[in-house]
Amino acid sequence: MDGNSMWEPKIVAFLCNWCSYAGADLAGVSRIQYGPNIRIIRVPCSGRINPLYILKAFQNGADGVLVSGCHPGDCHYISGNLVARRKFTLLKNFLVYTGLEPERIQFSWVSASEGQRFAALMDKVIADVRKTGPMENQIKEPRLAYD
Amino acid sequence: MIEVQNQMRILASDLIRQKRVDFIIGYEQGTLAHTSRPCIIDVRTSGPEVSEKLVWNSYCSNNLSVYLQKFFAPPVQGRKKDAAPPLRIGLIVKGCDLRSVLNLIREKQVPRENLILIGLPCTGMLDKKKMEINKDELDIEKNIQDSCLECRFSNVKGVDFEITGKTREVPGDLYEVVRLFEARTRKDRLAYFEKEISRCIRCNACRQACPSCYCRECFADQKDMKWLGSGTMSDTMIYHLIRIFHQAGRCAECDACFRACPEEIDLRTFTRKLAKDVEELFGFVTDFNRESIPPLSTFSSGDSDSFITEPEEGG
Repeated sequence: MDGNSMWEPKIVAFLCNWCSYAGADLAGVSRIQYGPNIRIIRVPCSGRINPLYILKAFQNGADGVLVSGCHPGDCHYISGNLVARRKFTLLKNFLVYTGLEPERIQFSWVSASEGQRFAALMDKVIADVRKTGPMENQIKEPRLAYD
Repeated sequence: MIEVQNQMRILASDLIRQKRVDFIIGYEQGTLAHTSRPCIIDVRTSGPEVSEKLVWNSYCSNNLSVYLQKFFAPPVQGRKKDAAPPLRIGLIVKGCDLRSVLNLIREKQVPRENLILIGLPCTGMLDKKKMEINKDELDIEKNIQDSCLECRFSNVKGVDFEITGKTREVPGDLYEVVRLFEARTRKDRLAYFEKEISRCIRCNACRQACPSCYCRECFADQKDMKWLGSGTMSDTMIYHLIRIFHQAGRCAECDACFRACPEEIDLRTFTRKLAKDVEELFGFVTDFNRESIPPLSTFSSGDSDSFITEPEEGG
């Protein structure tokens, strides 16, 4: 791991506007400490996330992707996260099947009141991706990797 | 097989004589020996004798439903109500074709009332590539397409005219390919996937041949918000991952993508995985049931949460 001693994981987090993003906000306002490796992208709903966005994040140099939405039953749009849940189950199974490490693609539910849970989740995801190491899958575009 | 072909010709000529169809889509003799090719007959300008053109043999592997959606696609310009009335299509279907047709009906791309389906019993289609290797074209079981070996829908149901005959037996292990691949190590799977995809020349033939890929503008072709380039390995991998993912709960396992591929990329190993997951997780199979709801258009409160990450010391 010589060349990687300075390596820090880059993680893209897609958070839904109504729960997880507010949860991240609460974690920040409450001054809960968590790793700085996360790049947050706010989306209207976890159901808004196209699998293409996740692969695009990997292509552009992300070492891990986290998707988080409201707990099942709490969706602002009634059923967005329930439809997303089916999609994500298949997507995660499929990407792992084609050889992606399961640690790199994670899904979770975080509500607006769970600042503590959000910080704990971030620490867990960062630790997982750090343990897995830099992305070696060829989905990552070599010329776009600004390391 | 000759009896089936004769019955099919009689049915087709009856349909033409009664003026119940505008087009008949079936197979005709190809220019080379041991080939059949799709033919689209405009019967408004021809007599019932054109039905003699139709053939049915073990080389009719093409999925004919791929032509169907274009007959019913809404006009690119002008108002929908000004468009010509929809045509009536007579379609020759085997098991996988019918599954594709029903998929198009479920997704409201094709009106069922404008179709007259002639269902044929299928004993499996021959694989030209295997025949070239084996040089033993009489042995059907040896040269049959891999997808036919896993087929459990060779006996069509719910068509307008059904011709009965010998069909394939339902195989024991339907997802053997997937199970074998799942048992390999992660690095091994990745190496295999990358090796297969590295041969891809991005001709998009897999997409064009697929009856389920009917989007006017494919994500791979979008220019305004250009998601995907075409040059690099990364783009190609993403193209294939997303194209295969779009088949979740829709693939009819006709193997048209594999037959169309000039590089013989093993696409079925990956498409089958999604079919297996959809069946195991959501209990959905693209079968002959017209009323079922596509699995990704719906949800259930009891869907699995097992893939969700829970932080260790829960907040």
